Amino acid sequence: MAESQSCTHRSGIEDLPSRFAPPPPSLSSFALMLCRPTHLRLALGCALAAGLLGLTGCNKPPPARLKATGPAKHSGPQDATGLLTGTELGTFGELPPWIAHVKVIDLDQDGLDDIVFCEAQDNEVRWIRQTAPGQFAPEALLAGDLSGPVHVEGADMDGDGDIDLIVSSMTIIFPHNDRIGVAFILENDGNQNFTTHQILDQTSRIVDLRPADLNGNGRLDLAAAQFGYDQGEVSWLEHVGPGPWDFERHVLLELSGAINVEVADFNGDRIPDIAALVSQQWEEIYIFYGTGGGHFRTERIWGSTNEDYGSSGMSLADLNRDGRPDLIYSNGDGFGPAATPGPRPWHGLQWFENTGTGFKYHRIGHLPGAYAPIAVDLDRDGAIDVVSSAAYADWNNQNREVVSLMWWRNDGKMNFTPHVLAKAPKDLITLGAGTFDASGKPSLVTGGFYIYPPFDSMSRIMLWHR
Amino acid sequence: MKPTIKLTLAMGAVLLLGGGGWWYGAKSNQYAVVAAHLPPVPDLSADHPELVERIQAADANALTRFAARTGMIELSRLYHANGYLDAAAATYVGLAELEPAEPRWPHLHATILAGFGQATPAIERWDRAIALAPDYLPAQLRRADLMLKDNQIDAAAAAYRHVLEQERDNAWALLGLARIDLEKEAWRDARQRLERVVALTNYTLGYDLIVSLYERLGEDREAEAIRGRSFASGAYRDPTDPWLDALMADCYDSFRLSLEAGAKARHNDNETARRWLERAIVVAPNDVSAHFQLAGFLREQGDLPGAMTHYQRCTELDPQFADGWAQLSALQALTGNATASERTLQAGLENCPDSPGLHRMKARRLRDTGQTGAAIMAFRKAIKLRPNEPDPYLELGTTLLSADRTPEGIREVENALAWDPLNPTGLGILAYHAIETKDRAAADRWMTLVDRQPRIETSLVNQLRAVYRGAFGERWDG
Repeated sequence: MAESQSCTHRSGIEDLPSRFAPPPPSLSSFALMLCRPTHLRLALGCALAAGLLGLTGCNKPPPARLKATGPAKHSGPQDATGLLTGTELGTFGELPPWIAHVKVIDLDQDGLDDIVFCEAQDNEVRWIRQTAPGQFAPEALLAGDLSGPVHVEGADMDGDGDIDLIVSSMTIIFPHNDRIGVAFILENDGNQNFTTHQILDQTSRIVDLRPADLNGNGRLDLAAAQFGYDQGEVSWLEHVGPGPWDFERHVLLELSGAINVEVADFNGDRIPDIAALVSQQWEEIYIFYGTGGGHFRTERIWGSTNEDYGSSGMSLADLNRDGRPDLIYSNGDGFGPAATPGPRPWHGLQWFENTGTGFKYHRIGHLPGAYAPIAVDLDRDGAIDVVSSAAYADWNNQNREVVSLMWWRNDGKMNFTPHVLAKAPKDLITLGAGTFDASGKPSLVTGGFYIYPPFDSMSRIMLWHR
Repeated sequence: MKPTIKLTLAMGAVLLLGGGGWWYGAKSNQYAVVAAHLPPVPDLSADHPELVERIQAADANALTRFAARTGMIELSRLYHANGYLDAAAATYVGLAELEPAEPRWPHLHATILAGFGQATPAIERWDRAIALAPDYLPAQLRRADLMLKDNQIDAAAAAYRHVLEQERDNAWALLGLARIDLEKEAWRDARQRLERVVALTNYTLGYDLIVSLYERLGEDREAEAIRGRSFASGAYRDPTDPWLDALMADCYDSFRLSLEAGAKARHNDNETARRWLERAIVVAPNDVSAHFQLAGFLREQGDLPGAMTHYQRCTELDPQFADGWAQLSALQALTGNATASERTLQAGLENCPDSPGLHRMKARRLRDTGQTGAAIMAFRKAIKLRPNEPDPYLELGTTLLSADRTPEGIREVENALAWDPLNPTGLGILAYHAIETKDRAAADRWMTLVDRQPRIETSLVNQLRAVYRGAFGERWDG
């Protein structure tokens, strides 16, 4: 009986290998334990035991190997490519699109979600207005000459009741270390006509700006991820006045490669904190805990020693619905010291559970080229799922079986099962979710960014709805 | 038969039987351990046939009583080298149990865990690896790095110092200590350490941090000097880890081999880089990207015929890959074969009519042969195809300036700056032009930007200052 148990021992590989339970001793190893002394009598007993083992036939069936009990890491994702229908909403120009960011926002406050996005190549922020549920106006230009815009957020920065846009600009998208970053605020006149205000320049390249009252004075400040290249920073821009567009920059961390910032009260002290994802060779996540009055305490909550881990995006969600904001994080940046970008075996998604006293790492799953993780209850079962896009993951003339949009379905117990939503179009680096039809079901919006041939299977702004 | 002989034979038989039993038992024990940790074979449907064959054979061996251990070792190498990290980790658990005195198993396992930021289990494994192999510095450095990332600052500092006791000038340990200094705001200590790091590594390590530190300390001249020396260098180099590197001999993933070869080339370990790139092509003979990378590497190493062969192969494998044509043509020109170079360029344009790079190359050739009008048209075509790159505007601008079409040329240089506002060449041209035309306001504007761009050579800046003084009778004070 003991041998039978040994032969059928199971342990889950969804846990870390260090947590493997030691197997119960098999009869053969038990016999070996008995025969360790070199005494002749025991040797004889050992030989007899060995002979007996052969006679019992206990070792005849192949021994049971370790088996997965949860979602297997190497079992393929489920095919859900028919679940969503993709509709191109963008207007193609002559060149392959460079959509660096899409933001779902009700810009005109008419009760319908719209799509605002950055075209980094054309230096433009544009708008696709939802005029009625599922009906869209053609793309409209909101502002040009924005120096390589890569992120746009909306907030009423001047307190006049309409939504202004905050634009992060790199100027040059490809690796560059000059201080050419620019921050813009596009002031809304109430009728979606925008006036551009440059609030910061001559600084490390800016890739993310988030509005929040970080010093508690009632005015919206900005948290900033400044990627730079060799030098960069995480900083915050204090809305100092007296003019509505006067900001003063404060550096929180001097490291290159900041990709995203998120603002939330992570420790429940009612003071906003800033989370920052730092890529490049650092591959670390920081929280800058607000201590009041625009002061912060820095804490690194996680870091990988793999300099090629490929951090690519971070977003905020109370994924486990415990009332505390968690972080979702993707690593899928495939650029490195090879002639082309491509996938890595560690690319994928994870989430950081805010336990109230710190953050706990959980791997969600593997996805080559993972980008833009967002939380959305896609199947409306009450459990918040995760969706992410993928880019530069070995899509080429020989291989087109590359996932570009993946749904990680949450079973309600924080087990995530991967479902492939799309394998085309390729190279989707930005993703949003909103309501874009009368059903109220969540839809997805993606943006394509094409810098590597072949230049086909492209999309500009694609709406994915059920 | 004499009783003594009988007794001897009996004793011999008993010993033989006992020894055999002991050996059999030992094998059985290994077999049980392997069985308990043997991971399921992953989906290998997209893998190289030889890898599939080797994994299947090793897996079958691992399921036999007499080759379980060797089968597991083989599997660990194959899984780890080919990106099956969960499976590799499972094998390392088993191997650590089978061979508790072998430091590689906990080290290799720890590298996987630490990659995912799993500090506690990774540090435990590195503790074991370091106890078994106290001289293996990569394990000590990695553990120290992970301790730092896990905010175990004092332990990390002690670990880095321990490395320095064994290797006084270990740049990675110094860098780690410098990071700790920075986090503790011990600016002077950080500066001393970083200055040692950049001196030891010729600015391949620590270049990024020391610039920010100089700027923080108000030492802008030092910072600008370093900024001016580099341009998006991507300075970091991981420490070499021979135990990890050894796995690459069993890697069948051409992209992975190419990446690791690129990293080795950064370390100037050219022999390894070449070996891995060649292996990438052995396992994937039709991988254009691997051929292209090897060609570039060989060109840098001065092996021009070798480079030519692989660029040629790129054009055969993927005629739509414009860079293959461009590089082949450039190399042919470099080796004096102008006819072949021209033919290659034409063939490239026929296959890739929308390649901005090839049109630009054609434009340069036309310019260099005095066909200015045609060159200008070709530059314009290249710009139309990729309008967001500054260099084609600059080349077009300088071509127009050479043809005495100054207003048009200046306009193109200004266009370049619209995409790269601190472009050193563009700033220099525009500053000079403004000074030459005695446009004081414009000259001041451009000179201000010149001062902000540390990548403009000092000699050029001095020249511009001299011209400025000559034109306006005053020194440029900024």
